[in-house]
Amino acid sequence: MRPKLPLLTAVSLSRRYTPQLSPSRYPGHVPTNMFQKTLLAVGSGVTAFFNPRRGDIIATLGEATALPFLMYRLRDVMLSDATGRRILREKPRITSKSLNIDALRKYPANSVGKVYSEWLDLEGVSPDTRAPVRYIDDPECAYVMQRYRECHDFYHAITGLPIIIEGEIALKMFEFANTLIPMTGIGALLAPSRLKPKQRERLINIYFPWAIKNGATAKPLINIYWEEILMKDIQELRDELGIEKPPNLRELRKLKISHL
Amino acid sequence: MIRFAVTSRSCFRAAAKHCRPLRSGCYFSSTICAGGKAPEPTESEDIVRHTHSEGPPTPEIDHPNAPKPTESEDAVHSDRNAEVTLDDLKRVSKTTDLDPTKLKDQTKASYFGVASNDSLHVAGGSKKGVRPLFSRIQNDAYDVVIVGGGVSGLTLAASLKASPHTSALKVALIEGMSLESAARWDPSPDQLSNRVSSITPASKSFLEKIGVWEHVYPERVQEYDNMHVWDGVSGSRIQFDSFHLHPVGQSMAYMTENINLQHALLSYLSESAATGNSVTIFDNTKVEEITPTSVALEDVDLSSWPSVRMSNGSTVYARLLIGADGVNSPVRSYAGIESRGWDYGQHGLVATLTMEWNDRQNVAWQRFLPTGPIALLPMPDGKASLVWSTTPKLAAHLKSLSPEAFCTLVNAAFRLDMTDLNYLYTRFNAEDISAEFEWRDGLLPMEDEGAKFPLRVAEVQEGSRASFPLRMRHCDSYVAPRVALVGDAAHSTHPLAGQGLNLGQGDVATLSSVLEKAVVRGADIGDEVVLQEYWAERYPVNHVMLGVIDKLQKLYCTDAAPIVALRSVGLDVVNSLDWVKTMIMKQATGV
Ligand SMILES: Cc1cc2nc3c(=O)[nH]c(=O)nc-3n(C[C@H](O)[C@H](O)[C@H](O)COP(=O)(O)OP(=O)(O)OC[C@H]3O[C@@H](n4cnc5c(N)ncnc54)[C@H](O)[C@@H]3O)c2cc1C
Repeated sequence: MRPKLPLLTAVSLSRRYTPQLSPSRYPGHVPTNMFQKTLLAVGSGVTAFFNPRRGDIIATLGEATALPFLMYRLRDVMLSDATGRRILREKPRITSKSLNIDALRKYPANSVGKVYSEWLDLEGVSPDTRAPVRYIDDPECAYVMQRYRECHDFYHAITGLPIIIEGEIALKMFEFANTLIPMTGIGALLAPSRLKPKQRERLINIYFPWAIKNGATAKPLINIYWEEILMKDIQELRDELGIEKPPNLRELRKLKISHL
Repeated sequence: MIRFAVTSRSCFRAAAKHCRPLRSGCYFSSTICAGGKAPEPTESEDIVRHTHSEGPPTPEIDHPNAPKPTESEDAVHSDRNAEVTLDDLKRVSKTTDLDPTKLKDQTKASYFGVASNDSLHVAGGSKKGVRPLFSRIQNDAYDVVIVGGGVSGLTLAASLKASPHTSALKVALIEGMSLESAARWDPSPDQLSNRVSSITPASKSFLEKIGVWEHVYPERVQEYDNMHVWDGVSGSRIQFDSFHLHPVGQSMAYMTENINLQHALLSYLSESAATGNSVTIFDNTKVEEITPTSVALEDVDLSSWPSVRMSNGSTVYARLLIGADGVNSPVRSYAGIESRGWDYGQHGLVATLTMEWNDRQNVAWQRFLPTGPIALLPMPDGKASLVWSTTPKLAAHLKSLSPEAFCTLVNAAFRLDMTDLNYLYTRFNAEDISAEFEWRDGLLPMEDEGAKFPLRVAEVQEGSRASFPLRMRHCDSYVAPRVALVGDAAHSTHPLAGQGLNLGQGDVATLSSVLEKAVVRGADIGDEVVLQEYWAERYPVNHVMLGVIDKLQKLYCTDAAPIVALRSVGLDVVNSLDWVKTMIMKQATGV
């Protein structure tokens, strides 16, 4: 377990000295009041700026800035679509157990499952590294946030964007254009100021235009029932969603290309 | 035959002043048409063609019981009119005394309920072939001719007969549809008509006063004293209880089928006919043309009297012509009165529903959706009447759904979020809709169940789904020389406040008392100066009500966040102020 940050300590202290707000509404739920939510947002924003690799802090930032109405909006995106509704109803969780990564490795080449498992292996991550949702009060919205997080690796897989900071920023921008939920955008806007000029140029010239164009035209990715399309050809899926694969970021980095 | 009506008011006035008709350019067009020449419009005249497509809003789907007007008598009677010449009229009218009391004696009986086409013959006086002109004119002249046998027209006829001062007036009522089914109405306990209105306490006491209410089937009236109104977007709500009513404990309104009222009115009229106060009713008879009467006389000036030609071929002359003929009033066109307003771009979908239990029958529910309000009004025996105002497209969709799917959508419209509802609108399969509904409904807090939503709908009565275009209309004036408009002919409004029919009742109450006064004073009841008093009293009252309803409808037909926020704060504030709610109820109940 990581050491607690002063900010989280402050929140937990303030929780200790305020009367119980509301009972916990789902496992892992931490009820907070408006003041605590603000504290979380500001604090995690500042921390994330200086320490963009802190996944838990980025997650907290996401939860704290996902003002309730934004979460409701993302939920409504799901409720307006037949598959989205089914996901909300069945509430599937993506974990290494639920997915059986070993089996995915044996899937046909170019299937969604295979590409996903290859990407996990390449980046050395597992679906279980996602932080649980704690600060969103409405259970359904909390699930939406959880789902959103758990699907994130699939976005990496279909776009081929690596989890290095540049790839993460490009993907955040893509998600922002796709859902118009600012929490994913805030990271993308804050972070570039900490990049090297070459990296920044590459983002601005190549990856932002791709992210905005593709994110805005693609169907909402939150409504994809990933578990059900693992056998599907990944290119077929991209075509269906209206997503073009962006240039390979790792290669462009190697060749030090910042314009196309 | 092409039918024309002169609608230019100035032309009408000119005729009234100069009394020099026939040659003067105002048509006595029944004569001309029958003679084979079509009248040619002159520049100053505004000529409209009457077709059967004009008329009150017709249901989008055919109601199985909807009476169809017959037109078979047309050809037979047009010949008869052709014989009326100017000389004939002059000769006759010299000797015709139009004193109301004498006119009354000449009225044979009240005709309705009997085989309708027969009654036309008798009423028109043509059964035995061509009669001498003298008696025909006498018989065909009336103090009051009411066009329209809807609730407003029949109430006016009843109320004139109810007053000792006006009961002697010779009254005719013309209705395009058959009134027989209403007169002989033998309602079955488990079937309700889909045209239902809420009757305010004010309207009810008026109907009681004139002796009509006792003819209403009481077991088919449902009163309520509690009302929930809420915002579908924000959830803000306002609740009215019986203690907001004045006097405390009375009812907010009485729900009943329009036909129950029509039946009661016709029963009353038939009872009053038995005591010698009859009204001549021409039903199944359309007014085809209204023109100024073009006759100059020495003692009684008939020239300003509108003459009303009916689809049975006969013509009646009116000292006072009442337009109770609904939204597309032919009487209003004749008088050249402007009617202003707009269409709401919504349809009112009505349906008769059965609730899952026979319980909580004293509550009315209305939820404002961005597409229009949906209202569930209690009816006896666990039934309810639905008025769902929505886009024409959705109304058509809702009518096309299976009964089960329709009921689920009604339940959803009262309970679920707009996102869920919009999704359900796109589904067609009843099981699919039901599964989606049960899932979302199951997530609603248990404690809201009894307090915030109506019971669930279990069934929709077969054939009861119909929809009507909704509009706001208000006439510049309700009166012209020898013409007055009442009810929907003068104004029509959105059903969200359940006021349309009640405003018409208010019109009738005022007009009757104005006419009563005029008779007592010995004034001419068709005189515009007399009629002005009616207009002056009713116009402002109706104007305010129409305005408030219109603003409410506009305020709630949006889901723009700032407006939703403002209206929700407003509603929450009002909901916390009992005295304001008492004031609102005072307006809404008319007491
Ligand atoms: C969906 C809906 C729900 C409503 N709910 C309520 C409610 O809850 N409470 C309430 O107070 N009001 C309600 N109203 C309004 C109410 O129904 C009307 O205001 C009322 O029926 C008007 O009565 P009327 O007699 O003035 O006109 P109408 O009922 O329209 O009568 C006009 C009559 O004139 C006849 N006519 C027309 N032209 C001719 C012609 N050329 N010759 C012969 N006859 C002719 C027609 O056949 C018709 O019978 C509602 C309206 C709608 C559409």
